Amino acid sequence: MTSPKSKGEVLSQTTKTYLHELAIEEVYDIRKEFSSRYTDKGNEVEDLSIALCNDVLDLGFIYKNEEHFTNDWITGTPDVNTNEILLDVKSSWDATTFPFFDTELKNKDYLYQMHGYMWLTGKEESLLCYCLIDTPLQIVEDEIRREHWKASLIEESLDLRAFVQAKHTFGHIPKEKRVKTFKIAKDEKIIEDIKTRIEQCRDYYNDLIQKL
Amino acid sequence: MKHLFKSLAEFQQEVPTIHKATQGYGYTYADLPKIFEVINPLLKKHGLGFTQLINGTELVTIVFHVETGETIESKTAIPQGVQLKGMNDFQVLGSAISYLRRYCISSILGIVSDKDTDAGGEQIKVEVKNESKKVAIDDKRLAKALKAISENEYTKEELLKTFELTPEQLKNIAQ
Repeated sequence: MTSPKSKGEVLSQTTKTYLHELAIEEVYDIRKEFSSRYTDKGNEVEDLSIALCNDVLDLGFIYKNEEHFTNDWITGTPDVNTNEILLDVKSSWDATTFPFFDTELKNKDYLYQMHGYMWLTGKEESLLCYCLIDTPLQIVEDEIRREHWKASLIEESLDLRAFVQAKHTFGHIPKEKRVKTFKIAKDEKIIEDIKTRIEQCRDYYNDLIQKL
Repeated sequence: MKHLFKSLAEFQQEVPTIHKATQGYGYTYADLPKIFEVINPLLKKHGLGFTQLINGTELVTIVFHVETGETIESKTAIPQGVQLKGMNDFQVLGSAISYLRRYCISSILGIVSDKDTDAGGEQIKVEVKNESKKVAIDDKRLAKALKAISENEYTKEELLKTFELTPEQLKNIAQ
């Protein structure tokens, strides 16, 4: 959940916009579909990311979790939830978005997400693993078309094709370097913060429902 | 050739404009698997088939009428000596062949596949499939899985349901 930018604001504009969409869906049954090339890649290579983690990290056997968890506040499906390990993978779009040099988790949304999973599963710590996996062929082909369009090219440029393909191929990087792990210990303060924000969201949402 | 031409004309009446939409940009472009997916059933329906042969430095595209053996063909030169950054010679050749196959088969069959300018044309969108499917597992990971099974943290049923095991791996598990 994003934080408000201005003082005095309780909910961020991003959160409000999402709640607007949710209220419209509830009242008018109009659902906004969300997908992007980034989420498409994430969904498609999720199994490969988990396999890569299993290969390079000193963990027992880890595998895709299918169980959906819910409590009175939140709901979610972590990528991996074995007896010992709670883990979520983030498949980076390309090498520029992979945190090669980060020593701490910069995306605080993920900190909240992992706390949500720890809350739901009762685990005390979790792993967030960024993975750098080759982009699936179909998505690379989309990128090649997109780049041709941006460059106003009608005929295919093999140079451009090669450039895009190289940008999405990582086999030359040692696999150990293609996983970046952040260990996150449960912090009850963050859980309490999530609860507070959910209460605020519920108030705002109920108000929206009344207005529609 | 009358049988082939008749079937080809009938095929062309049925084949839709093959349109691959790219989100938000409106640029449309059909790739080879999508073209095949659309044309293959229609070719079969009209008794047609095709093959694309790499003959030296040429790509030969042949469309044939299955019953009579009538054929038409086109030959296109494959560019040679092209150097592309980050690609070895085989990758360059593969890209060129893939590119030519797409255009040659579209051209010889008279199908519209590269750009959607006809709002009335049937559009076939390719969507990323999220359907669950079995995934491969390497021996190193399989060993971890078997250890987890022996420690009752995982089950053989889940393993077989989730992963596509090779015959050799299945044999090892059975032992």
